Amino acid sequence: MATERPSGGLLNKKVDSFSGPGFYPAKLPNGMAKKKSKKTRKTERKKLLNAPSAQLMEKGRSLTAAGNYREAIDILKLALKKDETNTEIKTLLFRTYALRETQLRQKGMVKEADVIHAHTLSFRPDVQALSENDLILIMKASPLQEALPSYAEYISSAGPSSEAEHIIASRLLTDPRWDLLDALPDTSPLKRDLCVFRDALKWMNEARWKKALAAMRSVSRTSPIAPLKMLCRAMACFYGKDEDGMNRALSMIPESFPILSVFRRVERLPQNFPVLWEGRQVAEDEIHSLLSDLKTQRLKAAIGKIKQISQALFPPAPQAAVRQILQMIMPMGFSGILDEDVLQELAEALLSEADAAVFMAQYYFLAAEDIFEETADYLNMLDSEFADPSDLRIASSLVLTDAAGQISKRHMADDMYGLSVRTLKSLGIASKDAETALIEMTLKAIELDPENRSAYDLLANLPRSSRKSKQLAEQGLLRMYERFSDDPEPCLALSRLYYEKNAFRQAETMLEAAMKRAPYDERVREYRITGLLHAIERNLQRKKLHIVKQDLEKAVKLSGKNTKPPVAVKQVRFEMEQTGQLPLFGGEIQTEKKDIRSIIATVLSPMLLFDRLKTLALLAAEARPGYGPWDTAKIRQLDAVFRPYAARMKELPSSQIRRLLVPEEDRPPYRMKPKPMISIFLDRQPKILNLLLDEDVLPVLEAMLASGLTKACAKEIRRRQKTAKKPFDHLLAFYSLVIRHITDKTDRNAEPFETIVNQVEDRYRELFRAASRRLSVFAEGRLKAALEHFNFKLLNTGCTCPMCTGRAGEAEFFDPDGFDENGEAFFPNIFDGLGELPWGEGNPLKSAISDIEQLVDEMGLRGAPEKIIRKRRRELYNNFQIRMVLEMFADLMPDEMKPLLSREARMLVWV
Amino acid sequence: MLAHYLTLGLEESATDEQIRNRYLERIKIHTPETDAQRFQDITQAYEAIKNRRARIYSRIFTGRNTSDMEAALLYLVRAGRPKPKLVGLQELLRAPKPA
Repeated sequence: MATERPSGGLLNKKVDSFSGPGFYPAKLPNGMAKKKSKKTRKTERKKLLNAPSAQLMEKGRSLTAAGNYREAIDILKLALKKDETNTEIKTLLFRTYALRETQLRQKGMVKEADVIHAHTLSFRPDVQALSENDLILIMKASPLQEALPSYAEYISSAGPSSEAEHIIASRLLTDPRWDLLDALPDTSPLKRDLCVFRDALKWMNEARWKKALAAMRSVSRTSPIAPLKMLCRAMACFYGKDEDGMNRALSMIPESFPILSVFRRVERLPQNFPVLWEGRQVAEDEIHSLLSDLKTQRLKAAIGKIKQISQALFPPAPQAAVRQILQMIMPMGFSGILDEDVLQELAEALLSEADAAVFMAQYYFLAAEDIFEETADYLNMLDSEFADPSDLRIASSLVLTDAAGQISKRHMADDMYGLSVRTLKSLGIASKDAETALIEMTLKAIELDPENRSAYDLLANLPRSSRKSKQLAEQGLLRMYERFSDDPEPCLALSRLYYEKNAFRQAETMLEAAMKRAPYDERVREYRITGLLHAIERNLQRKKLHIVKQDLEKAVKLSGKNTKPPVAVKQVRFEMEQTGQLPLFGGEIQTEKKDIRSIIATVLSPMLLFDRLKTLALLAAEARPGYGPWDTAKIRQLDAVFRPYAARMKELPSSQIRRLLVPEEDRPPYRMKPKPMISIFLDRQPKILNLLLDEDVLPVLEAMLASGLTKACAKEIRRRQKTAKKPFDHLLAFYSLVIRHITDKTDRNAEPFETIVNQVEDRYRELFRAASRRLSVFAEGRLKAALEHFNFKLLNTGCTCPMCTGRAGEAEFFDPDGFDENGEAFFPNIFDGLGELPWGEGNPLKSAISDIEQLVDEMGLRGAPEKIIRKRRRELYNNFQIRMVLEMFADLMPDEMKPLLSREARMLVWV
Repeated sequence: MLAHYLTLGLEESATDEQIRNRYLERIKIHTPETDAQRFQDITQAYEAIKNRRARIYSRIFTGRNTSDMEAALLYLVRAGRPKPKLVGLQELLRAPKPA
């Protein structure tokens, strides 16, 4: 039907009036429509009533296009009143009603939508006259049982519509009334894939997406259920962590499949699609915010955040996450950021009463202020934390081991005096001796958990001086020996213990056992050789040469690169002692005693020059008249053998000469200190130092200082300074200056030191700092302090305190009585010194800072919990004079310098 | 403790063998070259729960062994990354959709 177009001026005026300010509400500045007055609305209505139907229809069409369905319906109804036979108006009214119905359903206004639905149906055009869009509108607005017959009719006249099929398929997902599909003709593509659809839907509902995908393998791209196949593929990829695959599949779901089109968004917002995830991602900001709340003691906010985070982290059991978070913030309590009361409040608010009590007991145990009491308390509560009896035993064992280790490390064993019997019993302590008590604690830990290796290791290293403590340690180590039957470590630990007990034969038996357990372990071999050398020396002195012979043969067999020379020394000693009746390794029996030269020559013959020189030096070190077989004549003979070899030292590289002169510091098992070799070689080869390169000479110079060869050292430095290159020229100058200050104690001045140090390039500065620290052991007083701290201003201060005079590390500094001896004159000086000096480079506070840091280290407080530091501070402050010094330091320290101090030092001074 | 289990994606009732298998499985996927942080987290988690003694030790001493609280909490957050939840179609359709 042709649309009746309005014509003429009057009509145009009317149209204008529709589109004028009266019809389209004027916009207020804030975007709100101005409410029309009753009178205006009445006038407009009157105008509408007078308008022709064609004009009204156009107006209704435009309002529908603009989404203003309610007004459109109103106007179209007016139009229909004027022209009741106009099918175009009816069709337009049908579309508008359908759209309005959809709109209301989207708003959740179901009842209103149902009312409108009745109107929609009343204006529904005949199926033959329906366009596809109209059909879609009907399908969208109607329930399945009404929509399907309409679509069946449509198919018979116009063929299948893919969009309509998508609508039906999507309805069937939530309302699987398969019987209704009987209404559809066989030409419907949906009917063709019906079986597959049914099976797939079953798997999809059971979340078995892969199976559903497999069921839809035969579904073509043009099938109405192809989008479902894509959803299955996307979900399978999602669970298979194949994001690319998921995104590809989701992008293939068409917008026309109403219920699934929303999943296209998963691609962009996977984290915002909460149903797909267990819990939610906690943002880093939430953690920062929580820490900030805790630091500023905003307790309520912190509790709320911990709850939120825990819920997000582990929805099935948020309490586990709460407990974990509380454990992680425990260090805030140790360092004093959180008060214990606040921590307790947190625990009580977030955990059950019993859990909070256990948590606090654990906190106090780990804080370890009164370690005996708190360990006992925690042990008594462990059963509520570990219900399984074997877990409980392991936990108790770990707690006891840790406590014993802490007590030993922090020298807190004396705190046990005055403890109740109950506490002592909980800890397994029966002895009144502190040393033995720690061993008893460790033994109880072993008894509770015989597999607790850390307890055995602790036991092996705990101090034991009394007979009882050694006996107890032996018991535990013997258990370790049996328990770890393949491990050589228990044997080595027992051998150490037996040596301490002077039970040499038992010690050697243990070393033999260690060898059997780990025959190729270099450490075990060295232990074994050292034990054998120990036994050889003892038996040489006892003239038990037949035993020496056996041990020596074993030692020679076992000896490796590092142990050849000391074994060779014992070989020489043995040959010197015996009369020739005990040939080593089944050799020929000699009728006469051998000459020392031939003995040494025989022993040295298979060795390299380096080992020969080392052996000779070791022999020379022990050769003194009256010791063993040595007399003046033999020493002279040894010297005669040594000198030609010493002359051959130039054949060795510089690094090997250094190793000869300064034996490397290794860790011999039984505290066998390396003997000073420098004098032995210098006596026989005075020009030996010429053979050393500059990079090898520094340790040799230090060894010379240690041997008291200060003048020779200074002379060598002077000689080298003429040719030395960077950075050794400055280093040698530094060594020279230090030696001058050591020998000439009256002339002490920071300036020459600083001149040298300032000339040094930054990359070499650490070399100087290390050298300074090494040289400090040869100095004393203020020079010692300056070298230790690499701060030469200390040489210029008038302060005589232990810190500034290099006595801070001495034991008597902490001894109140010892301190009193220095006390009277000490305090006025430090105050004068501090008061007179400007706050600049020469500020004595800077050196005092490093001394306080050293004090922290000496007291073993580095890294210690705040409670320990507080406790030690209280003890330290019991001494009036120390308190005065530290308080004065605290008063004089400007705020800008406070950050220079470590956490521990700040606590020691200001807590 | 929880963080370690979450990192390895295991229940607290997992056996030593399950823990080891999961550890080996994960470090094959998250190698130090591909994801160093994740590899470190997985190794740390495994060391902390690999056997009964280690688990009990972690349960008792976590408070002391936490040297950097912020790092520890962030480790927990990384471990607690939400896991995909197995949902069926109906649940998926009923669920609130993203705006």
